[in-house]
Amino acid sequence: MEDIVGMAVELSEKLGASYSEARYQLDSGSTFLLKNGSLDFFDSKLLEGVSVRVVVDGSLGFASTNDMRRGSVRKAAESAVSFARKTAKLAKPPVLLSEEEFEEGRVEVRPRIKFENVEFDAAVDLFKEADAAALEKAGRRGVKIASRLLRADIGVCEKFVVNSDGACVRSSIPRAMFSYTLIGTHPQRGSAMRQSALGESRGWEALERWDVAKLMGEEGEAMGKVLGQGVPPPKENLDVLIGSEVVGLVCHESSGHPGEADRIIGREAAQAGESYLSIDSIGTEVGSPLVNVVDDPTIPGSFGFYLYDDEGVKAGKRYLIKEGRIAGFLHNRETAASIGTRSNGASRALHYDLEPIVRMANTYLEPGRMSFEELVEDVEKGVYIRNFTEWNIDDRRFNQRYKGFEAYLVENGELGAPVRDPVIEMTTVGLFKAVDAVGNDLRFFGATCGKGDPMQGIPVWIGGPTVRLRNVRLGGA
Amino acid sequence: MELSEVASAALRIAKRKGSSDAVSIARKVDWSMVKFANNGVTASKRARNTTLSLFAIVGGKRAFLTTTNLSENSVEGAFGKASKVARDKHGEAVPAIPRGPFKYPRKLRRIGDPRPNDEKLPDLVEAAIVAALSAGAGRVAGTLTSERTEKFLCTTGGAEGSFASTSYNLSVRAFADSEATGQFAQVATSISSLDAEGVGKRAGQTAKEAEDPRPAEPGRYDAVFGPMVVANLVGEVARSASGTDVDAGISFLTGMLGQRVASASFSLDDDPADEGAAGSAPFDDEGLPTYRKTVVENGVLRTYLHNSHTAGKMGAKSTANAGLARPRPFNLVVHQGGGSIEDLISKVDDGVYATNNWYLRYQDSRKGDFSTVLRDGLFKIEGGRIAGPIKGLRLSGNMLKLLNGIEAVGRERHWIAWWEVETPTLAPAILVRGADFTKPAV
Repeated sequence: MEDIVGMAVELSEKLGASYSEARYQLDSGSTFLLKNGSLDFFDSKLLEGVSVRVVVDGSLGFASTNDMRRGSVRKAAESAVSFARKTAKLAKPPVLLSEEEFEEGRVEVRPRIKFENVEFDAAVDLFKEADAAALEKAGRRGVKIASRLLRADIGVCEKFVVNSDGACVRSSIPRAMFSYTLIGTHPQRGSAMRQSALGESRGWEALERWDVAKLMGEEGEAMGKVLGQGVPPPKENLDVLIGSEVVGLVCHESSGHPGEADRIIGREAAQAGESYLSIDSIGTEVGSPLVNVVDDPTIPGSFGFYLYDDEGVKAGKRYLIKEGRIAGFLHNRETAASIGTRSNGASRALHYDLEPIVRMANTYLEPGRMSFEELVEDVEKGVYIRNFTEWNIDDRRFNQRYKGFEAYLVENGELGAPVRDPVIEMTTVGLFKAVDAVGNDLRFFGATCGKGDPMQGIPVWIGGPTVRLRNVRLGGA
Repeated sequence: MELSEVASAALRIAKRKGSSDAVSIARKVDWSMVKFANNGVTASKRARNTTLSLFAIVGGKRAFLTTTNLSENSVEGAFGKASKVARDKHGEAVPAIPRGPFKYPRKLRRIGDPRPNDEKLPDLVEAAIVAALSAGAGRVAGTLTSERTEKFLCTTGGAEGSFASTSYNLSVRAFADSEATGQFAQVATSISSLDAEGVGKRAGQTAKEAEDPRPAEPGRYDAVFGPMVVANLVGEVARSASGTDVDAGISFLTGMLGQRVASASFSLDDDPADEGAAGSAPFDDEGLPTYRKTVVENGVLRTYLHNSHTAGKMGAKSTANAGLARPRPFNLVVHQGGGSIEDLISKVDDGVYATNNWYLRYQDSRKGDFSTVLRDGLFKIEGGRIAGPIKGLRLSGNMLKLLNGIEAVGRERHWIAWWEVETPTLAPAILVRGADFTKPAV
């Protein structure tokens, strides 16, 4: 396989490409779904092939094939070059790539427990136990969780990337995700929905360590409290504490996405949209000095883990916001060249047949020093929103809404009654500027980030500590 | 290897591994995309993939395999794992797949262009860009995709069939400035019926008209939703009509069969049998011959979308909407109404005209509570006329309430597909009374 990938690069150059890159990728994985306590299906996937990406006369071409025979890969290379050449007169401005230093890299993460070694009976039993825990805990509070979807996605992603500038990177990274949807109903108080996920670059051992039965018990308990006893959120201005899961999503949606340089230069304008930031925004104040947002692909075990991106560029930790000011953007070689800087290794593709584009990896708010108790004790009147159930944001990443799920009143420094349906509807700058305290309880959650044409849902972590927003209004204008 | 050989070999493997029933589908897709932004092409992409999908019932349970490695050894190994799991003690028994053989309509064996190629895509992109710029835009972005699919299916139920289809999908987004944008899209089965100039012009005009938007006031308004918005909302209706979501209890249409779910002005079909529609197919993923069906008739929910699994669970007949894992629509068709979009706007005294939306999310899909961000041209309506562009609103409401608020449906319809509209949808504009809009506090 490796010689065929190398052949594709060499052939593309011979055909006139000023740059060529070839990637072999194999994604193998399994999914199973427990629906309302019963195994619904088991699904195996094996997606394997080669892609070739070239620059010809300033035009970017891409082609892929699942046929690994030499002749087919050769045709893919020819196809990428010829299509790029065909559109070259419309490629304005011509595509340039930043100068980078490349090396031979090898990254292998070994799962401790491969999925094929898991006793499937035991896996389903684990999920059944989790399912029962959610039902039982909610039931104690008079709430029935009538709809329960518990899902496991386990797989390994193997890549081999070679380019004409000297990169040669092999990687093998396992990923495990546990995601769930719960809809609870109460005879007098209607229904409520909760969705969330955990993910890591590990094998089945991740699911064992997450203790999904305990987690689902806690979710059932929360559903019982919120649906059974939740009171409407106060309408006046107050302090709002937002938990790790909400903070992580805010960082992803309102710092990570607008910090993607391909959005900023307009390349994703058609569907994913652009950004409220411009290339000149470095140094612009967008939040309180306590706000430090990082994207770091190199965290061991993280769901968005990688050490070399799909252009072969070595990845590292990068600040998006530092002390409340825009500190940097996420770049691939194309966006970096367009503003005269270096790539920071943010280029990723979901499968072999998709173009690598600028993506987040693990985006989070850096923790502060305050304990959760210290954050709460200074609040006279407020609401603590531990997690969320619905969100959306405009395509410039400025106007956003997060609907809380598990939430509580805070009165005179103590948590009180559960609150139902609190909504944060604020601008990005309004939200980040309202941050007046940052906790030390950093946590991460798994997520699938959507972007690209065609759509690529890519694994990421979102994370942060509990954060306090001072004097804001819930429910939008 | 021919698709029929790939699928037949996999079916034999499934039988050998003890499947009581199996469906094998081999699909070859030649796909091309020209992506553009800032008035120029940013990437030209092609993919040629052959994929095998295998669905089997083993020990009464369901197992699925999707693979691009078509060697018999690889298929046997991968399916072996899936069948071992399915044979396990867990899970509920599922009904047998439909028994054939079946006859499929000749007109659906070849849908679209007989000899498609992507050579014309750059010229069409250029035409769309020029049209949008001529209409007043300063910058234009978008995607133009061509796709040719060949599909072969065989089942242990005796079904066997094949068809080929082409589709072309253009999405154009025009910018008059960073906050004044317009978007329009079209999906077609033949390149000659793709109106690149028209799509570009419409996106450009909307962007121009959206210049200098005023901040909007939140509240309850009558609203006219353009075809892009309607296509997105209708996709939610169809998704929620899927037997899988209904059975799981996560759909706002659960328990609503035979009941009013929309105003009498609204009717919706799923039509797989229109040879001029991009999602058409002669058979579903269990080999059943497809047919046109009315999902919502004059506001009343007439059927869910079923495969044999969901139909069996709910005491119904399959509606020939099998996707391998879940029932799905092929082409959605909103029944035609009577007036022009100007007629709809003229019926609104104080309201909103929204041309596009994205990011629809549910806070409770069982109830249908959702919100979605309105993007691209958004306009205030006063006294039956467009009063000017506005910005910053979010549609925050309940799907059933919204559908029941439909007062009128427009006459002119467009075939829409883009990021937020997965199923090709023939969508008109609609007038909805009393929709709720919110905006950020700070």
